Amino acid sequence: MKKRILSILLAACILGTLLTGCDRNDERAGEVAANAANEAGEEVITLKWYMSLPSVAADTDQIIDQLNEYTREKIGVEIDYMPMSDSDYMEKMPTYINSGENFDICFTSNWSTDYLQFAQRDGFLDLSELLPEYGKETWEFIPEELWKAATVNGAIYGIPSYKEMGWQGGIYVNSEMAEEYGIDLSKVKTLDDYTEVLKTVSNKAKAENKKVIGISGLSSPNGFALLTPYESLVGNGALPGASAVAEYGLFKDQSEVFNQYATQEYMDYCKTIYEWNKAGYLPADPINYDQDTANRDNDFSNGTLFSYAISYAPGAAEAAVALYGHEVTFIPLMSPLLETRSGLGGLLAVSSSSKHPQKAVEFLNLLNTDEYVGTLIRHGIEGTHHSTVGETQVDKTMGGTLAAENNGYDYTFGWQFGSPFNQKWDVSYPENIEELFHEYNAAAVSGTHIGFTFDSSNVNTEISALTNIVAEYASALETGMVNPEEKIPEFLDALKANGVDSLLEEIQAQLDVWEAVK
Amino acid sequence: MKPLRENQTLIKGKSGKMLTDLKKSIPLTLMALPGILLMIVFKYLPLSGIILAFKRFNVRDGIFGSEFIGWNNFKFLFMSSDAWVITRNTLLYNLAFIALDVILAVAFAIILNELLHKKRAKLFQSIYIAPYFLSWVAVSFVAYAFLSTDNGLINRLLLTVGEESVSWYADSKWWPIIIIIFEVWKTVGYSTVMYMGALTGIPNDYYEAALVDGATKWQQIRHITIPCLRTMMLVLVTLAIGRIFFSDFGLFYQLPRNSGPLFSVTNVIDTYIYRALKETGDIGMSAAANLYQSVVGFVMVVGVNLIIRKVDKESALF
Repeated sequence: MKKRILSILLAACILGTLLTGCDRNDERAGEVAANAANEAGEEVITLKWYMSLPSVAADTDQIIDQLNEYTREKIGVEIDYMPMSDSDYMEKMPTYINSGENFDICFTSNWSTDYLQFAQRDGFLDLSELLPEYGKETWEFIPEELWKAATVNGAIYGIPSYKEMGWQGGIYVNSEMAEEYGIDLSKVKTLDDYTEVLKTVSNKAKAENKKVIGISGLSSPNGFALLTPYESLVGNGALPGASAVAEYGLFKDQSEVFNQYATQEYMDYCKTIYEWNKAGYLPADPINYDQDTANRDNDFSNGTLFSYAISYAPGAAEAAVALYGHEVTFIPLMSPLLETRSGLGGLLAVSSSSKHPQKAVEFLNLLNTDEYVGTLIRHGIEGTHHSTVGETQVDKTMGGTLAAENNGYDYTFGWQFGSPFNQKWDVSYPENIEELFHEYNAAAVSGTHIGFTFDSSNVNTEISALTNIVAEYASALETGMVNPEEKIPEFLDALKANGVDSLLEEIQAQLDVWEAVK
Repeated sequence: MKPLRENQTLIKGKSGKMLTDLKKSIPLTLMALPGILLMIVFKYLPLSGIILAFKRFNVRDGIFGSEFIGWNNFKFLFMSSDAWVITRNTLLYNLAFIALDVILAVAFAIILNELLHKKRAKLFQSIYIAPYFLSWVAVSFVAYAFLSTDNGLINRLLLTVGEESVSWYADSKWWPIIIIIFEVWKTVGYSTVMYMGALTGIPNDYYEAALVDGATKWQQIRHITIPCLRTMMLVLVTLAIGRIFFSDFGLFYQLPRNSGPLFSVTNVIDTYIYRALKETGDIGMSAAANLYQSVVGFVMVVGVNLIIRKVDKESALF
């Protein structure tokens, strides 16, 4: 008897949750309607904004108070700001979205809280109709290519950060050391040219009885994908699925969609690095070394590390001088490449659970186009966190009176908040920084498939298996830890066994549809 | 008429007994109620979420509204060419851990128990259990200090005695041993404490009687201590076997520092799932993976318990 009562109770409970689960959508529709009525009365609306930042600054609350004062008056909005450090955000935000948590705005990208995944899974709201109406300035200000890159199945689910358009792989070099060793960096145009440089560094360092690491930062996906450019069609440089970009003259004999690991270019690259590693130009544990960027920065500052591979943005080398305490030269190994994924490095999206999508877009518009808002959220309060220099610059050291560690609000990289073009720049950047950006953007080569976004849901099984295989082989090969002649065939067999061909076929099929529509 | 009346009294008698039973148990039932409710809310209701393993999850449709896709979410666990490697690694490592844990923990517990100086025993006990509270991330850095190729302690030692230095994070042959050493170092203290608790429960009379009969220390341990610990050992082993298809993610991911060349001996089911789903972030697939692990664990526990029941009914868990 008791057992039966218990089981009935249990069943009732489960049924209850089932029903509420089903009901949720209707409830929300009701709420939205009720709120629409509210908006007519011009009440101040609170928007909940989840944000990902390198670290959360101590004085964030002050900045948000000041921001709210401004936005309350301007668009009738207050911000409930929830910033998290990047690593935290990566862990938590996907869970918040999946669990249907109620919020309005969140940061998304292709490296944290995956934009494509959540766009395809209805986590974000389609903004393509709201933008021209409620975010007109932003809609016009951001170039069309970026909007194209952010388009998923014909809809736009987030506002991309307008900064450098595209990416440019190359090498950061300690130019003071290069000068000391008599190396002419302007001669370096390809990876093979760099072998000579590394040889000189190694020999000179040995002669001085110093231990110098020639180059680091080559572990996947920063090695091959960064220095041998191709268009990545799955939005992730490490997964198989590449397309050649004619301007670079690489991968000429490949079909439209190919496996970048099954190319002569990959073999050549790995062989070069294998030689470098054997000659001792790389750190002893190259993969481990790359994971600890604090240690790398330290080594790069004190001259233990000569150079490392990076993806470059204009002005970064000049700004790096402050960080490293010596001159830094960037050697570009390619012209910038603009492809779909380069538009997805950072976006602000509106949640599909948001009750005030129009207001959210209005606020995002302000963030992207209002210089006061942009400067406030990037550099903090004038007089407390920075001083103004001229028309377009701020000094976050306040003329040397404010040490970096005492500054309670300092985000060097303002792009996560929208567009640096509508924020003032720190004085450590060259004065013509915006020109440099525009030059860079103008020089960018556009991939032929920009705007194509891959829907992985049919091949999730293959991608899961392939990700494991790539993690097993790619970094070891690309840092020269293993012999490419032996390991690449093994790697390719493993990729085959785990369905690389069905992945490539699926990409080609989706590409055909996309091209037909276009 | 008569049979009916008999029947009636029977019913009355039965329900009367039930009523008094209920009356007696009301206070106890009430006391248990919060616990039962919590159990239902936190342990049984979420079970309905298992359905996620069979869905293609969509945020707006929620768990129950999403599209049903049958067994598709389970495919990635079995389709991979690594399926065999990860299963082998998971099972063999766990078997090694279970065996070593029992043997070493019981040995340590007995040794500590035999120490006459109780303060010293406490000190050793604390030293043994300390690593249990460290996180694998911290331990991985300690290990790195030992194993780093150019600055590692072990390579420095090897060089000073004139041996070649070893590239630890690229050479997979050492890792089964390294992993087992670290796992045992980290967990054995905790089990030792459990066995020490069980040891204090053994009546002293047994040992006194044995002493009178002239039993040596070794004979006492063999014939009194270990048989008395048997139930405890079986319970702990049965529970551990229930988790045989789960692996300690921190151990297999952090300690080898996610180094690709070591995957053949460090890729286990949890690290495989993590890497597989990091890219796609598909929660249907992660639910499927976890369901699979739990079902295998459940079958193993029931199976092992059945065997134990066959051999020795007293020691079975249920």
